[in-house]
Parts: sequence; C-alpha cells; structure tokens
Amino acid sequence: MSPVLLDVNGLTTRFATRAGSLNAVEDVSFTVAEGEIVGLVGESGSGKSVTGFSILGLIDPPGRIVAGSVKLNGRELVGLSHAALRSMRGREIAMVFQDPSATLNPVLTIETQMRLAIAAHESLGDAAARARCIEVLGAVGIPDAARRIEAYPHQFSGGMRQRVAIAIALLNRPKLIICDEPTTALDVSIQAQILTEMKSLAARLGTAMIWISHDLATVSSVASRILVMYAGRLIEAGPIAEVLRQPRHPYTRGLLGSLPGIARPGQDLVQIPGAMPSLIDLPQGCAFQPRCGFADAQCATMPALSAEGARSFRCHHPLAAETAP
Amino acid sequence: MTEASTPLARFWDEFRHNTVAVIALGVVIAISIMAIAAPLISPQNPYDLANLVLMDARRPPGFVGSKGFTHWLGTDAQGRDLLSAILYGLRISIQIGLIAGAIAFALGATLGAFAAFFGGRIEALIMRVIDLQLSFPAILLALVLAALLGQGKWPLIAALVTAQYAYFARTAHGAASAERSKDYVDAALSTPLAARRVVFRHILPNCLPPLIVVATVQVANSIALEATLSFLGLGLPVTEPSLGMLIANGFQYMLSGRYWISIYPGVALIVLIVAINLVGDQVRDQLNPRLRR
Amino acid sequence: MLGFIIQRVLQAFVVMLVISALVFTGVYAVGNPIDVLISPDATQLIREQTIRAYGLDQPLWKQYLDFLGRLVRGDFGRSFVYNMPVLDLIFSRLPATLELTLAAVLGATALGVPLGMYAGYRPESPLAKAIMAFSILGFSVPTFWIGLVLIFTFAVSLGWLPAGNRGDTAALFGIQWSFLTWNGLMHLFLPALNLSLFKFALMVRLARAGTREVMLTDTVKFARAAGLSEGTILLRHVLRLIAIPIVTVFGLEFGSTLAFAVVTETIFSWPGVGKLIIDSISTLDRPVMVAYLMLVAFFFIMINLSVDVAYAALDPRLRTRRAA
Repeated sequence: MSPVLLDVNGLTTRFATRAGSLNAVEDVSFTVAEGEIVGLVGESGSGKSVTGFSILGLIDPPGRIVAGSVKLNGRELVGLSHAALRSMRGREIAMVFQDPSATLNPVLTIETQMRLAIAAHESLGDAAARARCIEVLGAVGIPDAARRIEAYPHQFSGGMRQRVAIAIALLNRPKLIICDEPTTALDVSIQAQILTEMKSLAARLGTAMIWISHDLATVSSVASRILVMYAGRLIEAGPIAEVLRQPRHPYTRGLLGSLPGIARPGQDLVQIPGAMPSLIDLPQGCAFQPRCGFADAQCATMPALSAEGARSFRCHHPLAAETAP
Repeated sequence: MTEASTPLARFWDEFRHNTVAVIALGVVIAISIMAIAAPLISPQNPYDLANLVLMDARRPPGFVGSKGFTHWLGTDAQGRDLLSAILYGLRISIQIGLIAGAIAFALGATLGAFAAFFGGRIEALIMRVIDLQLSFPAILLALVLAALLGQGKWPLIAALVTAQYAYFARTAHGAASAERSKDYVDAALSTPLAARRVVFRHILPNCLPPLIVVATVQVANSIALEATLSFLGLGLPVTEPSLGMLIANGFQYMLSGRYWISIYPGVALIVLIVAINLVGDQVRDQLNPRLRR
Repeated sequence: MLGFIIQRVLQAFVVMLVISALVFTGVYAVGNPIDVLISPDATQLIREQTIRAYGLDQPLWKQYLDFLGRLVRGDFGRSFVYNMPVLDLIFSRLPATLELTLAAVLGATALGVPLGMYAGYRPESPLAKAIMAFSILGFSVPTFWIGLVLIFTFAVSLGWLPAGNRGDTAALFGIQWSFLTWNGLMHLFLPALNLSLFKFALMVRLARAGTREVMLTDTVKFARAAGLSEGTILLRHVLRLIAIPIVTVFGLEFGSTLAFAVVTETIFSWPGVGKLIIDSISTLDRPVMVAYLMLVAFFFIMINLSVDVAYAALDPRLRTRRAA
C-alpha cells in the first residue's frame, strides 16, 4: 500500500451560532494514501463539506477547529499560521467546488485567473506561466487551449467551465485535490465524462483525491475507499466494493436501499424514515437512533468506532453478513 | 414574546429593540413638541421687530440682555434671542418639510400608481419624464424654481415638491406594477368599480410600506434642502427666518469669531435631520421584505 | 457596440430637445421677460421696440424655434450684468468648477472605496463601525453646514487654511488652474473636502455593500482554496467585481457634484459657474441661467452616455450580448 499522504485524526470543527454552538464535524479520523481516491458521502448538513474546508484551514468565523489534527506528509496543518496555510493551499492541497459559474470570476479572463493562482506560489516569467496554463488546460480536455485562454468564463459551456476550474486546481501540481460535488451542477452526460476524465487524470498525475458527494452512485464510480458521514460524525468507512456489498451501519444500508442502481431489481426502493436531526439538538448517544429500526437503550451512549480489518463502523448493532441485502 | 394584536403594535414591538432608533424617535418627538409650543416656551417673539433691541445684538451665549432675561445661546445681528429664533425656525422648517413631503407624496404616489395601472403609452411617457427628472440633481431643480417663482413660503414649497415628487412616483410605480399583476386587482376590475376607485382603494394602500420609507427620507431631505435654499438666499423672506436663513445671516459674523449665530441653529438642524434619518433607517429595515427572515 | 452607441446618441438628442423646451418655457414663458430686459420706467415706445427686437411679439412656437436656432449656433445671448457673451462668461468660470469637482470626486473615490472595502471585509471591527457612523453623518448633514464648520475650524479658529477664493493660479493649456501652485492647492483643499464628504459617504456605502456580498461568494472561496493571499483577492477579484456599480455612480455623481458645487462655491467664494448661477439668479440674469441649464443638461447627458459605454467595457458579459 502507498504511504499515507493525509492523516486526519479526531478532527472537530465547531460553529458558535446565536442559537448555540454546534459541532459540524466531530471526532472525524481517516487517512488518504498517495494517489488514492477517497469518497466522502453524506446528506447535506452531515459535515462532509466542512470536513473539506477544515483540512484546508478555510473555516470562517464563527466556525473554528477546536480539536484534532490534520497531518499532510506528517506535517501538522491545524494551528499553522495564516501565511503558512495560504502557501500550502493550492500548492499541496487544492479544492474544486460545485458550481463553476459561481467559482470563476466573471469579469476576469481565464488566463488572468490562472496566472493569479500560479503567482500565489511561484514567480514564473510571462511566457512560462502562459505555457503552463495552456498545458494544464489541454490536460483537462479544453480544445484549442492556446486561443481559449483569453476568453471569459461566460464564453464556456458549464462542463468546460468546470474543466477550467479543475485546471486551476491542478496548476500548482498539488498532491491532493478535494472535490466538493464537482459534477452535481452539470448535465448527466457531462457528469460521467468529467468523472472518468478526472479519474484517469488523477491516476496519471498520481494526485490523491477526496471526492465529496451526496450521491453514492457517483462516488462508487471514482473512489476506491468510501467514508460515510452522518450528523458530523464518521459512521462507516471501508473499501468501496465491500461497503457496497455488505454495509455494516444501518444508515449506510438505508442509503444503498434508496439507490435505484444498487438495489436489487424488482425490489422496492427503501426510504430512510424521518430526517437528519438538527446539529443543535442531537439525541443523546447515536445520532441515527431516532430513524433506526435496531435502536435500543444501548444506543443512548455514543458507540465507539470499531475496526475490522480495512473496515470500521460506529454502531452498537452492526449488521452482520447474513442480514445484508 | 407577547403576541401583539394590531400591525402597529407589532411594528412598535420590533422597533423598540433598536435603542438608537428609539432615542432618535424621542429626539424627533421632543423637537416637534418644542417647535409646536415655540410661542409658549420661547423667551421672546423673534418676529416682532418692535421687541428687538439693537443694543443686545451679537452678544455671546449667557448674556443677560436689556429685557432682563438670559440669552442662553446668545443673540443674532438684529438682537434676536437665538434660542427663540431657533425654536421658531424649527417650527418653520418642520412645517415646510412636512407640507412639501405630503404634497410630493400625494402627487407622486398618485402619478406612479396611475402609470402602473394604465400601462402602455401613458405609463411609458410618465415614467420617461420621471426618469429624466431623477437624473437631474434635485437641488438644481429646486434652485431654478425658487429663482423663477420668487421668495415666499408657497413658491418654496412648490420648488421642494417639484424636486421630490419623482422619488415617490418611481417608488409607487414599482410597487404598483407588482400589485397590478396580482389576481385581486383583476377581481376588483371585473366588478363595475371605476378605475379611479380601484387605484385608490386597492392598489395604493398596498404600496404604502415602500412609500412610507421614501417619505421619512424625503421629509429629512426637504428640511435640508429648504435650509440650503434659504442659506443661498432663495428661501423664505428675512422677516421670518428659518434655520437655514439664521445660519446664513450668522455666516459673516463667524469669520470674526462670533460662531454662535451660525453654529447653534446648525446644531439644531443637524440633530433634527440625523434623528429623522436614523428613524427612517430602522423603518426601512423593518419594512424591507428582503431583509426579513 | 457601434449600433448601441448610435442608439444612445439619438436618445440623448431627443432628451436635449425636450430639456430645451422645458428650459425655454421655464425661463422665458413663465413671467414676463420684458420686465427684466428693460427698466420699469422705460417709455411705451422703447418697450414696444424691445418687444419687437427680442421677437417677443411672435407666437410662442416661433419664439421657441428662434431660441433653438440661436442655441444651435452657440448663441446664448449676452449677460445683462457682465455685458459679455454668456458662453464666454461661462467658459471663463468653468475651469474653477471642474477643478473643484474633480478634486472632490477623485478624493472621495480614492479614500471612500478602500475604506468601504475594509468596512465590508471586516464589518465587525471597530474601525469599520466608525467608518460607517461617519458615512451616515456625511449623508445626512447638509453640505453648506459642513462648509461652515470647516471654515470655522480650519480657517477661523486654527488659521491653517484660507477660507475663500482660488489663491494663486498657474497656466496649463492656456487655462488658469489652482492646483498647480502651493498657494492654490491650499485654497482648493477646504472647498474640495467640503464637496467630497457626501460622495465619500456614498462611495463607502457602495464599496462596503459590494465587498460584503462578494466576500461570501464561491469566487472568493475558490481563490482562497487556490492559495491567493487576501490582498490579491481584494485587489484583483473583489475590486474588479465591485467596480461596475462604483463606476456608474462615479459618473452619475460627477454630474450631481457639479450641481452641489453651487453651494460649496457660494460658501467659499470660489469663482466657478456655481457661484455665477447663484449671482445670476439673484440679479435675474436670464441668458446666463438659460445657458447654464442647457450646459448642465448637456453635461448630464454626456455623462450618462459615457457611463453606459464604460459599463459595456467593464462587463464582458454585457459586451458580447450587445455585439451579438
């Protein structure tokens, strides 16, 4: 197995709101190996995006990381100075967002925006910087990059725009890219295209990725390992094929059951009853118990994360192999 | 939290949470009461020329005049007690601001609502003229009109109304266009009511919140504009000085260090305008649906 | 783009025509101009001669056409008071006003935009709150009153700066300017400050609102994630995004600042067109009033036109839409 690139341990990010403080991310631990693609799945509000921003040190007040560590190649990122974090961002860990029409600046050319991203980390000459931009644009599949580089974002289609955003993330050859639902805002056909392209690009460049999504199907087609979050906590992790075949946490099984492609033909799609509780008043113990068919008195205490080989889960009543669908 | 019954009570319930706005409202009310009661509480009638003693002119604050009472804020060039002059001046300033604001409100709101109601060419024409006028600075319009119409209270009010009705018209037009497209207007029109009735009974009342916001700002603006015009010598006659005129009259003495003749009327004016604007800010925040949660 | 400009120029022409009609009615038709043209104790004969000489016996529409004809030829008549062609008179005063207005608007923008951006970037900081409180004051307090306070403080009490006139001037392109001499600059400072306070408050508010909005967008988050420094983000991304409304207001406000210069020029006895129009109003010098109004209207229309063109240049989305 490749050496560990990112080691997140006990990460807790807290937001102090007027209604009270809440932990958007609580005691989350996982690792990402070099060149590995890890999927991070959860409903909206489960803390998956906040996890991504916490790794980059991009949590705005009133939020802050209150506990845990984030190590990149053994170097601690939590508590680094603003300047050190800034020079790490983009160069070692980059991020791509959901909606490219919102992330790209509409009044600057693609070239200007790319050159600003390069200039943040190294001073290249005009020609060299431009050559790098064109090379990366070509790598993400923008045809005629040398000419298109002078265009403005609105002159690209949605899919092309996201390719530009990905190119900006790749510019400084980061070791890890955090992709926060980068295909959600795109047409389905383009989604699949970008998905496969990014997968092969990551393999070619040896870039590791954390692929954040609410969509298990998307994640299962890119990631080799999957992390499932619920109400700010990691509740299940493991190699993707094993988790899909045999989920151990009832919530993961619920997610799988509601997926048309994965549920068995002829079987009704299963809906998880109820909704995710508000982070401000979580139930005592396991946050999933109000919606869980297996819940009992034991669930009033928070289950520990138990590990079994490459897999881990956080449940008092893990599903055994025979109860799996 | 108590559930207030009337809209006004609910409005007040929200308003009183902004301490600054409440204090400002208190100041506006206090100044208004002082202005209304000016003939009763001021030491002297500043308009009665027979009452003025030239010996007492341009005296500093605290001077005890020949009439035996203390001029707490000093006297002006004609020997007027400044405190009295300010109280009477406030009276005129508020009066003119309110009258001009009310006429501009009525005229502008009606015009805007009718434009939105009739639509088509009439709407295009009215709104084009109003946009044109809005692109012109209000002070310039008021200046020219005040110059053409001559001095006096009513020419001044006419100038202020001309400079300001367009703001009301545009606001009313915007709100009324939105209302016009709603079903209840069609419902009202399908009954044999006159169009005029539909505008006044149905459309206009629903445009009130944004108009009230414009009104608070415009009353403050009227007062400031009136003071500016009077300062430039285009406002009221010298015999009945408004605050702007008092300031203008004191201006020449300021250069020789007799600051009080200009400064105190100015302070009164500023306090009044800033207080109205602060109240207006809060009213705007409360009535703006986009800021509501 | 060209078609767009032609369309706007045509529109501007129509607006000018409408304004000329309004000014004509306002200044010539309201009231009897003959009362102003000749002294009240003139004989009936002189009176009738003057009426004929000025074409006042003609029907109104013909008078208006004559008026238009003279305007087109640049003939605004002679000032009664200064007894010189009105246009020459106004142009001799124009540099003083332009200088004052430019100094005020540039100063307000150069100071107001960065401070407003700061107030929008750190809205909770004490400095941001102080900036906003100051801008509310700048908004509500009438210009003339601020002028008085400035004179009282800096000219009368402290004696640091002069309170009136342009001071020494030096020639550039054959025109006298105050900002070229130290003494002239000292004279320019207080009036420019006075005139700029309202604009300053406006710029602060605009820049603050824009910055607050832009800082919350994914554009800024994405730039941060790419490792851009906060300074680069503010200067390159945010400033460009908020520039569009600021340029619009800058242009429109330049016009209204010209109008407000009337007040400032009167207080500081700054010999510009603003002081000229106030003097003309009090002496009923109608040709000067007409010429001033028409020029201001022309100015306004030119400004509106350039703002529209600048808009198209600043926003690439608009540019392509119009070219298409």
